[in-house]
This record gives sequence, structure tokens and C-alpha cells, in this order.
Amino acid sequence: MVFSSLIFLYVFFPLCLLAYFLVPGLKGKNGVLIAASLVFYAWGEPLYVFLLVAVAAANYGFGRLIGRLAVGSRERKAALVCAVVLDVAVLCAFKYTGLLVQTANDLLHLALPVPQIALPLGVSFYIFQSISYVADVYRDEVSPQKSFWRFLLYVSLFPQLIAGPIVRYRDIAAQLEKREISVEGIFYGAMRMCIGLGKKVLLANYAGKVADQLLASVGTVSGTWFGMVMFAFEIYFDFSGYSDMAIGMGHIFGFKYPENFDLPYTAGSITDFWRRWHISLGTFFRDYVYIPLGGNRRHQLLNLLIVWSLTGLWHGASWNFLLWGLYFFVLLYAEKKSRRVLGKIPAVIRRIFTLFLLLVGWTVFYYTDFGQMVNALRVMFGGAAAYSGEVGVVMLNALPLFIVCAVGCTPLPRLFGLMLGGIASREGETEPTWCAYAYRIGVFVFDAALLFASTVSLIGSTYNPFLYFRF
Amino acid sequence: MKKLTLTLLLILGGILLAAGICSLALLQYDRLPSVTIPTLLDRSATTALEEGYGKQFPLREPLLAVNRTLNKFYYFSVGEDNLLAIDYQGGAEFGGERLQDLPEPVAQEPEPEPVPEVELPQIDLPEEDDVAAFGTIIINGNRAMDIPTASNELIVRYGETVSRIAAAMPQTVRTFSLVTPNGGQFYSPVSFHTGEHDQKAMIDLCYGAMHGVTTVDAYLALAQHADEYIFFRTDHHWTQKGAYYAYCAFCDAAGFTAPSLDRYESGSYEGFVGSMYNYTSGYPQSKALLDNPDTLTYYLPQTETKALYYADTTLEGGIPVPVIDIALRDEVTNKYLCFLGGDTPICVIETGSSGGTCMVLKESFGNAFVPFLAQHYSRIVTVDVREFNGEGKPQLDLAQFAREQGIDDLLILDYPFMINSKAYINMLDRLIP
Repeated sequence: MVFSSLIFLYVFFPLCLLAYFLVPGLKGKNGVLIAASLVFYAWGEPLYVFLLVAVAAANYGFGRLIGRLAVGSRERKAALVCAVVLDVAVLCAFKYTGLLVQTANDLLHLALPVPQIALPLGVSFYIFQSISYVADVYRDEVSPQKSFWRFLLYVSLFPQLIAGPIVRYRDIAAQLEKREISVEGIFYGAMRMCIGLGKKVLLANYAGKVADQLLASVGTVSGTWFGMVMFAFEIYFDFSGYSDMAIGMGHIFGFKYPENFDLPYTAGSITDFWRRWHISLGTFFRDYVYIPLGGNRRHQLLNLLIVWSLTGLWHGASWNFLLWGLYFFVLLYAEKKSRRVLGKIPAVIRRIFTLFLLLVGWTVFYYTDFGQMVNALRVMFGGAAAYSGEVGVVMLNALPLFIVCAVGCTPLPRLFGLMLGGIASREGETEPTWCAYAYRIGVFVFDAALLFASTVSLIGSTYNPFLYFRF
Repeated sequence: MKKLTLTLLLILGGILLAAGICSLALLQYDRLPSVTIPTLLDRSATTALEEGYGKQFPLREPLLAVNRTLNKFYYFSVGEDNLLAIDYQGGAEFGGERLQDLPEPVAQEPEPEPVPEVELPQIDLPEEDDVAAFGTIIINGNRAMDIPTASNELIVRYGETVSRIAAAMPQTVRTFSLVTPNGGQFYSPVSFHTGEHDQKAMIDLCYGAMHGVTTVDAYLALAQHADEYIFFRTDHHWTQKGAYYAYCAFCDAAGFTAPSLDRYESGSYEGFVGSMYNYTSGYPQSKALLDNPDTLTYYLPQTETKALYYADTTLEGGIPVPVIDIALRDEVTNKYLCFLGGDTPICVIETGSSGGTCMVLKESFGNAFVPFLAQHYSRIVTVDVREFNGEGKPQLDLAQFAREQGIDDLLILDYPFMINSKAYINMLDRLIP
């Protein structure tokens, strides 16, 4: 089940909310969330739900074990290594076995049977969450969770289960045991959820349709660049829309999730971009891979290479993702070495150049077939006619969508909201003014309209891809 | 403020719950797919349930109307140009439609075949991706067209396959190939009928790969009359007038004389809104098609005809069908089905003419064309190649069937999406074991 489906929005989620708020006490509410999360996951993964529970049970057990062993002891370290090896092994077995066997066949001219293993939805997210938990327990930064049910809730909580953000245990450990559910929080969550739904259904889906239309068989320079711009819009609004929905649902249930996106296409450099894009993944690799490997202090180049190879492969079991990761490794290293020069370039030019580099990167990301990727890059850099009437019609049809997406990537909507919010709640007022009431109603009407338009669109269109099935 | 917020939340929650309860209460559970353990485990059940739920969502029709309005934003166009370009996959599965009120003929149980001693070659069954040929649908003003995209390798393979079929025919049989362009070649903006969309180039490439086959230059015949009403605006087919000009080209190739069109008795159906509208009805530009429907004019054969259609090559249990149905019910929106009742596996037409027997391998484009052949043949056997040699479909050995039927001429008639469709070419290929 995905958030952007009618059955989720009008059956699963309302029933879940009803049960959550009718059941008294935190224990009961946690029970409702666990049951809902397992049903949610089993709807799409009826067998792999057992894998999810097994992974949770194993990490819960390792967490308890690590907690019992003395800090700094070899046994404690060995327990951590076992837990991480187990988690990584599960990830590799389900995600990368097919790729490795296929590659061995191709390189060594073997005929080994390629196992057809379906990738469990969200496995990369919940495995990383589990690793962050055992690592934090090992570092003595958090206490091991005593209740298996609370730990299962952390791992399986449906808002962030299949598309992130990667929520660290330390960020919500306290909320598993005590959390504040307020009217304000629920309102904020509901509005955030509607915005995320709108981003996914009203922008990402349609941008993706245009991108696929233009990129399926690239023919012109302008068409391929425009298609790649629309794909950049698709992946941003899709991914950040899912994160918005996750954060929104979290608020409704009383959880505070960290932000996962911060206007990434306004970045002034690739380094800046990765501080703004899928923040929970970047910080995970920084804290659990890069720094433990030595960070900037020793073997920085090697550490960066490892981190960006892993970042690439995390996005899918295909070599183009590795190439995509390595592309960013090269860019980031180059940026580190030329910081002074880059600092002298005007910000506008740096931003435009960053966008250019990102679009080239998305081309590598988009095509899992190397031949198609090379052909698309060849066309983008002048290896075909500049323009065709067909591309002109597609661009004309998509013009309003392009404008809305382009504006949506800038700080303008946020600034506009803040400005209205600022007017509505002027400092010094003790009681809410009529402006504040009007603002609240305005926000509600806007978000309800997004929900309605998204519903209409879901009924009228069959194009509703789930981009994270490869993650 | 808290009261207001709570009220707003209750409104939103109430709407969600009410919509959810209504949707479940109104759901016709018997129309949902049945759920079994295997379908649950392979995830097909939950996917089908979600689809079924979406199709029965309360107020679906009014919401679809709102969606059409919403699509004005996503599929923007200005002024009278009314332009739209969307992806389209057409080909082997497209056009296989027949009149609903025609009964289903019963395929005869095949005789048990002796186990062959030699190993038969593996059949290249179409995969899902193979079924369609890829292209674009455009709307330009009040005309919609399906624009094929050339796949040169497949086009050459089509030509070679037709040659192989010709070689398998008895020596006395003349084999003709007629590949017709569609309306997109004549009425679309330049870039939609040039380069990889140039249907003339596709036909030339295809004919160039043929040997032992007489090719019919329908392209030139149609191009010379492009200013006439030879292709529908709301449907992907040609009009029967368009088919007539292609028939004239066939007559030139076959050594016949085509009667003048005004010697045919004709009639018409007004208000025909065809497949191109159906395909684009969710897009705002399609309103121009609905507001400007086509007129279908038919031309009755000048000789008596009697047609029966069959499920398989045993030619048993034939069901009568008019060669041209002049009394289609108003409910039949696809007026193109008046020709041969649409697509049937095999149709045998006995005529009052004194010529020999012609076999026509065709898809739906052939339906408007075949009635003209009644002038020259006493017997016409049409075969829809999509109806044979596939999974669960009857077998057809074309060479053997052609011998049984004593055919004199074989005509293979297709439009550009078919010569670019791997699945369709495979179907043709399998006709000759």
C-alpha cells in the first residue's frame, strides 16, 4: 500500500486514526500503530512482513546484548559487528544477489542461475534504522530498548517504513514511551500530509509522465534536457512529498521526525545539495560510515570513495547507481580541492552550474541501461537535432506544470507562507486576531483543496509510480 | 484558536471518514476480484483490490469530469491549434473488436496429433513489452492521429516474413502486400511525419525487404487524394473512400479494373466518434473531437454477397454476418464495425462475381477494404492473424489452409503500427511452421 492511493487515504488511514484516538493509553495506542504498520506492510509484502519482524527481533536482541556488555569491551564490539554483519547480509541477500550473480556471469562468461529475489519494500530504510540503533547502543548514546514491542514499533512504524526518512532511534526513543499529542500538532501534521500528497500526486506524477514521454526514446537536444528537468522535478516532489506525508502523519500520532529535504535545487554547490537532499541518508552515512572510517582525519579520499559508492548502490541494485554515486564523489572531491576558486564565482552562476551538474547526474540515475544512458548524454550534448515540433507540443502542454514545479523548488512558497503567517500573528498580540483566524482557515481550505484535487487526480489517472521499490 | 483548529480537524476527519464509510458501503463486493492464498502471496490480489476500489469510488463520474477540467492545467494548449501529444502504444492488441451482438463461434476440438519425431522449433511467444508498437497520439485542432515510430529492424523483419509466407504458397498463388499509411502521414505537423515518423520511408523500407511479393503502392494513391475525406478525424482508421483508393492501387497491381466510386450505392452513419476520441477522452483537447464527430460513408458491393464467419480453419458452425451492415443499432458507437462485423478469426464471403478465390490476411484496416474485392473474386477468405497460434487460440497452418481453399491470390494488408510490432510479426511468422 502506498500513501498516494485511495484505499490508503479513505479506508486504511481513517480507520487507523479512529482506532488510535479511541484506544486509551499510550500502550494501547502503540499497539494500534504496530498492528496498523504490520497490516500496511503485509498488504504489499505478505511474506516479507515476517522478515521485517525477524530483523526487528534480531536487532532488539543484539541491542539488549550490547547493552549488557561492558563499554569498550571486545565482546561488546563483537556483538555490534555481528549485528551489523547480519543486517548488511540481509540487505545484500535480498537486494544485491541477483546483480552480483548476473555480473559474474557477464564478466566470467558463466551460466550461473540468477536468483529472482523480489526486493522487500523499504528494506534499505528499516535495515539502516536498525543499524543506527545497535550502533548508538554500542556507543552508549542510547539505552537499549527493553520492550520488544516498542522496538518493533520503531522499526515498523508505517509513516516512515517504505520511503523514509531514516529515523534514528535516538531521535524518537523518548517518544516511544511518552509523547504529546496536541490539537496544534495534529493540525500541523494533517496540513503537512496534504501538502506532501499534493506534491506527489499533483506535481511528481505528472512531471514523471512528461519525463517518461520524452526520455523513453530520446530524439532531440531540447527534448532530452526538458525531459531530464521534468524528471528532476518528479524525483524531488515525489521523494520530498513522501517525506512530508511521513512527517505529517508522525505529527498526527505525536512523533517528531527530522526534516529530510531543504530546497535542494537552490543549492550553491554539490556539497550544499547533499546537505539539503535526503538529509537523513547523508547524515547516516556521515555518522555511521564516514566518521568511523576516519572522516577527514585519515584516508579522506578513500573514505569519500567508500561513502559515495555505498550511497550510489543504496539507491538500487544496478551499476548505474554506483556510477551515479562515483560521479558525486568526483564532484565533491573536486569542490573540496577548489573551494577558494569556487568562492569567487557569483552565487547565481554557482547555482545554475550546480543545477547543470545535477541534471547530468539525474541522467545517470534515470537510465539503468548503459547504452541508453550514453545515448541520452550524447544527445544532450549536441548529438541530435536541437528541436522538433513533437517536443514543442509536449513542452507547450507541460508549460503550466513546468512553471509551478520551478516555482515550487524555490523558497518562494515558503516565504509566502511565512509572510502570511507573520501578518496573521503579529508580535505583541496576546489574543489571536481575526487575521490569525483567517490565516488558519485559509491554510485549511488550501490543504483541503489539495486533498480534493489529489483524490480527483488519483481517480482519473492510472499513472502513480512508486519510485522506491528499488531502494 | 484551539476551538477553531479542533473544528477544522473534525471537519477534515469527518470528510475522510464519511467518504471512507460511503465507499465501503457502496462497494459492490461481487465485482471485486476473488482473493485466494496464492493471489494474496503474489500480491496480485491486493493490487486488483486497490484497482477495483478505485473504479467503484463514490461519485466517480462527477470526479472524472472534474479531472478533465484539472487536465486543462496539465495538458495546456492555446487558441485554435488545440494541440496535444501523448504517448501511445498500439499494435497487435489494437483493433481486434467485433460487434457485440454477433454470437461467438465455437472452435472445434482439434484432432489429437501424432507426437512429432523431430523437435519442433521453439515458438517466440510475445512478451508483454513486445505486444505494442510505440508511437504518439496527437490532437491537432479537431483531428486526432496515431503517429508510429519506426523500428527499422522490425520493419525489415516484417518484409522478410511476408516473403517467407509468399514462398510457402503454392506456385500458382500471387502474393500481394499492401502496407497503408494512416492519417498521421498527411494531416499532422511536419515533425510528426518526418524522420523516425515518416510512414513513406517505413513502407519503402518494408517493401524493399520483400521478394517474391507484388507490392501495392497505396501510399501514392492516398497521397493524391489527401485533400478528400479519406481518414477519420476521431478514429484511427481510414474511411471507406480511403480504402477505395488503396483498392484502386491494388487493382493496378493485380491487373483488375476498379469501378468508379460513384457507381456504388452508398449510405452513411452520422455522429461517429471513434477510437482516437476514446483514447484521449480524459484530455481537454478531446472535446474538439466530440464536438466534431465523423460521418462514416459506406459503399455497398455491386454484386451479391453472403458472408459467414468462423472460429477456426475447420470452417464449421459458421455464423452469418453482413459484409456491410446498413442497420447498426444506435447503441453501437463504433460505426466502423459495420464492415464485416468487425474483426473475426476467419470470414468467408461468397460473391456473385466470376473470379477466383482471394485470401486476405488483415487487421481492422482490411475490413473497409475487403468489400471492394467482391467485384473480382467469387470467394474471399479473410484471416485475422491475431486470432491464431497463440496461447489458447486455434492453430493455423497457412500454407495448408491456402491449399485447402484453392486460393489464387493472397493479399496481406496492414497499417504502420503492425509492421513495427514485434508481436504481430511473430504472429505472421507462426502462420508458416
